[in-house]
Amino acid sequence: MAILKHIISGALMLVLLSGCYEDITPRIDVQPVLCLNSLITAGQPIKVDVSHTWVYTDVEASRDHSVADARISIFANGELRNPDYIPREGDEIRILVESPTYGSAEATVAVPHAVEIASLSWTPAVISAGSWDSEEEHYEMVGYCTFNISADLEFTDPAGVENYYSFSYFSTFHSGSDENNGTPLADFYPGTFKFETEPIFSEHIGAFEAVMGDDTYGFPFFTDRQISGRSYSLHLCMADASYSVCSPILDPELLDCTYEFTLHSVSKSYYSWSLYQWHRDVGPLGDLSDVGLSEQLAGYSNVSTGAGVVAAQTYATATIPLAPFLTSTLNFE
Amino acid sequence: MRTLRFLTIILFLSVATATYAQKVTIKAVDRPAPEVFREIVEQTGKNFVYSSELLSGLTFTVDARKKPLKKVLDEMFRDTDIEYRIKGKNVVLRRKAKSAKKTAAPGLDPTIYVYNAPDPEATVLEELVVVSRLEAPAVETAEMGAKKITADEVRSTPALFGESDVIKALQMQPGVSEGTEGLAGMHVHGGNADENLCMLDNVPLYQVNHFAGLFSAFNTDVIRYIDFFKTSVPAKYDGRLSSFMDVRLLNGRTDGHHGTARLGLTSGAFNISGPIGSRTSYLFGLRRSWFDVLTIPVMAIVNSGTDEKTRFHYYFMDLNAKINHRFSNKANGFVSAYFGDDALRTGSRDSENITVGWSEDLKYDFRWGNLVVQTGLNYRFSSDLTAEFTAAYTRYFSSTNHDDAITDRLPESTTSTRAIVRTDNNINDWIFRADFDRTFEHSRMRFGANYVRHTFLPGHTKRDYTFNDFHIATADSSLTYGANEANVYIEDDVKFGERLRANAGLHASLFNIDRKVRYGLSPRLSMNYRASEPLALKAAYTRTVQYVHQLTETYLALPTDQWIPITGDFKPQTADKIAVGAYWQTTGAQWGASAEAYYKWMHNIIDYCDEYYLRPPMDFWSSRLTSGRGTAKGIDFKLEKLSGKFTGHISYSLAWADRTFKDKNGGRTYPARNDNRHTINILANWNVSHKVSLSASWTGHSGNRFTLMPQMWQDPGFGIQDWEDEAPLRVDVNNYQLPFYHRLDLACTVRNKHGYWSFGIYNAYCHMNTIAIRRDYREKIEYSPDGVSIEVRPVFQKVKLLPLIPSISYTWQF
Repeated sequence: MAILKHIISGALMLVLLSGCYEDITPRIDVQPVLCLNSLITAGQPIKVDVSHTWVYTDVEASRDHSVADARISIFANGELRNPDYIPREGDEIRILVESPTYGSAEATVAVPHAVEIASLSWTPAVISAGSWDSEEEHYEMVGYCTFNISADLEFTDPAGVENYYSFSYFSTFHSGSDENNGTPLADFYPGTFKFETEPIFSEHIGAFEAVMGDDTYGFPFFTDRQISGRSYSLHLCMADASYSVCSPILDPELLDCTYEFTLHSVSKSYYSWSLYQWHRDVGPLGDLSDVGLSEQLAGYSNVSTGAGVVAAQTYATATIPLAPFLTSTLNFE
Repeated sequence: MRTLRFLTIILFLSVATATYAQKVTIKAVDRPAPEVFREIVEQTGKNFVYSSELLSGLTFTVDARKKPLKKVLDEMFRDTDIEYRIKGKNVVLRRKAKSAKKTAAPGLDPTIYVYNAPDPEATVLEELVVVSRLEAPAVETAEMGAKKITADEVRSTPALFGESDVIKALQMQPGVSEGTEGLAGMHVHGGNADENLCMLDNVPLYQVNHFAGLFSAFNTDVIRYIDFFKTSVPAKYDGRLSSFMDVRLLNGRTDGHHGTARLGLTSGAFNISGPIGSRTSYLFGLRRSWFDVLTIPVMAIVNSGTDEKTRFHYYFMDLNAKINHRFSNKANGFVSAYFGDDALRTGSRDSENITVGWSEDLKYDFRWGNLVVQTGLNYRFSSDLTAEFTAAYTRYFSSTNHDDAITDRLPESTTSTRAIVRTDNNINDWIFRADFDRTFEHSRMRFGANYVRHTFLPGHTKRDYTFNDFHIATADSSLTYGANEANVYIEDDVKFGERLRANAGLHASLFNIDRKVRYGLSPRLSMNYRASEPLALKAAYTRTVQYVHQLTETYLALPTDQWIPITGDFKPQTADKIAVGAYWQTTGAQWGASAEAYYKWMHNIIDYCDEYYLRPPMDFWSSRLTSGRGTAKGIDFKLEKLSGKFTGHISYSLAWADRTFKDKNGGRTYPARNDNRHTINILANWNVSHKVSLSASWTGHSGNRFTLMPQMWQDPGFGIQDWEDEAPLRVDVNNYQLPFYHRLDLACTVRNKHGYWSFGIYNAYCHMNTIAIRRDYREKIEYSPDGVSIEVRPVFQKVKLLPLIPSISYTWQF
């Protein structure tokens, strides 16, 4: 029956779609140009990646597209700077690359100001919790729990300018190790981040994308179009997080689990490049353009040659310490 | 060279024969009178005009070979109580003696049956039946690029899946191109697909496609004819830039209950019409696809033995209903309704028996279509003044629903998540119109006015998300736009002596939205200089104005496409077109030839700007659009055989079309997607016998324009992704021309006592045409004693669509 299923599915696809592909070598004259990539972070040295474009079918060039004769100049607020210049918030950085072989390329980006996190409040919800006893040995710390975390991260969007943001999270914990066999004593799984609980994470999804089933998962960028100049709380949710511990001694360090929530202020170029990627890889436009049923998607670029992205970011971080919650839930007080 | 000479001789011989073809060859044994008339019309170009009651059950047995028409008619009517009179191009029939007064056609003039009259059927058909070619000879009228296509012509044009299709029949006309293969897109003289006004009995339809454009929304079994204008446009019509198409439905029959039932590969149809009493008639037509019936067993097999049940259910339907009532000899009324609907339900559901683990119930529901309800009154004030009053409601609707429910059952707990996204996109129009037709001795004046109340809801999205106890619901700002549109028009078709004829008109429109009034004046002028009996020289100027446009992100017709009114700083789209042409037609209209050259300037046209998709959709739509201009120019040639056993045409178009937008392609001019330099269409119909007819169509054109990005650059990555990627380098829009497109379609109709079989082959020689170029990788696997080596090579590939597709259908007539 399984074979029949595949035969029918294949036949349906053949009849309904009936498309086929044939290799072609299109004749178009091309001129390689410089490609310039850089992600500038306030307070960190600038790293610039220079390469050149290549014809898609040119296997050799796709493997090595480095530029040997490139000369890079970095300008900050109109002044030429040393290569080790550390950019600051509000700087306007211009990167100019010149190559005798490939010509020149330049891009300008403003380093955004960090937006402070005004507050981070959070509420845990225990799904299950428990403990067990070992007949062979006595453990001081034994227990497990699964839980959800709801958090409100409040910030104020700076007025008068277009702002672009990105959100990221990071978790830490201290696993410890068994003195005898080195196995971890504690384990912490941060759960699944529920993008859907925060409507601002879906602002890039229109009717077309929504009905094609593209959800918000995995796209943490957003703009201030809906919140311009005012305070806003991101509703964040970590679902099905779990913690377990099994330690012979009472070690408070094993409860030292945290979530680190980071609010990035990003340049427009960073946002646009990320959204382009989303459309290319996740949204329906990428698939449709691939078979010629919509306009082709060119790579987003803010470099003068059309190749590469020069972006900038700053960030602010807030932490949720889970130790008090775990201590009370697992009765380690 | 010899072949060319041979063809030339054949051509001239054919023309010479046609010129003297007033003799008739016909053989019939007990054939219904209308069928015999139709054959004579084909051979002579004469029209038959008679009372509908006159021929009740009348059949003819006649055997004539190259006999004069009069002799044939004498023979046919010898033993009947019917007499005939040949009056100009009409053969008028009436009952001998007592019924003569009743059947005489007051004020009947052949000119009633030329273009643009208030529907001749609607005004007089309750008393008169006209068997004619419907279309006035092109050499006689002032219009350019006008075409009246009968339902029979549509049905005889080979079509995909055997679904006769109005729009695909029009795609065979010179100057009309199809867009993406197989889809019912229509690009006229370098225009966009949303620049064509499609009307059903004079009421606009916004959604004229089913199944992403694979089929058009017109059931050809209930269509009488289609008026199509692509070059000069009567003043009555405005509101779109490129073309106007009015699909006219049949009226109910008064000579008994008749109908058809058809079953084809993709759809079935049932149509019936007949009288209700002596003054009223009805027409009912239903077409419905039956993909959903097909998919039931397929889905049953696919879903057997698996915990995941896949859903797929799709259908489209068209329902037409019409009631005509004759109040008096002067007044006829009608009420009609059309409902066209597409419904797609798909998704998947995991077994409900799962007690522990993850299960999902995913549903996608799409529904979109059109509803039209209208009522009208045709009134004849006098023999030279008629009027048509219409009130109509038309609604375009599109809703999509995405419902994803996930349950995660653990031993200790259950987590449930449900995400619902619903979008709505509606247009409601109330239309009131009055059209008048006044005939003078040397001219014919048409004038009228209409008012339209539009209500637009162009895309409203609601999201509803539940995660255990957490619930959040959001909705886009629900912007409903009301707009008032008013139009008045007047045109006069005047003859100046024997050789000169002119059609001059003016259409004025107001469009009020956002407390801002936009207006448009659309002057029209077309002239015909009859250089000789078979030859006419014409020139025309046409201006058109468009206040609404369609936003579509794909080359498909999808329910997410939105019709948007002109708002904000955007100005109404306008087009100015000049055209000159020469038309030649033999006496009796057996052969015709034409050459039309045109130049069109389009202003304030609207398109998505570069990288529009990087602007969040919650932004006002205008932020994603750009305004610009376009030009189109070209020349259309056509040679056609209009009557006889063998009919058809050969056309050739040489065309250019470009676009320039401020925020697209860096402001540089680029070729339009349908900048098809050369287009050749050949359509041939051969009535082999009374039982068998064959048709073939061949179309070939320069490939569509396509944006091909040959160069790549290193994607920055920025630490978000682990793998190295690459991005294509932007190039000029539509920088590449796809390979030459060509295709042959064949169709055959075999009639029997109760109906007819239709057989078809789409793309008969299976030349799969290229619709795009894509990037992909080709693997090369080599086996050697040392092992297996795999080499991955990037390649460009042609995306080719639609191979040979056979079709079959049977139509039962009763």
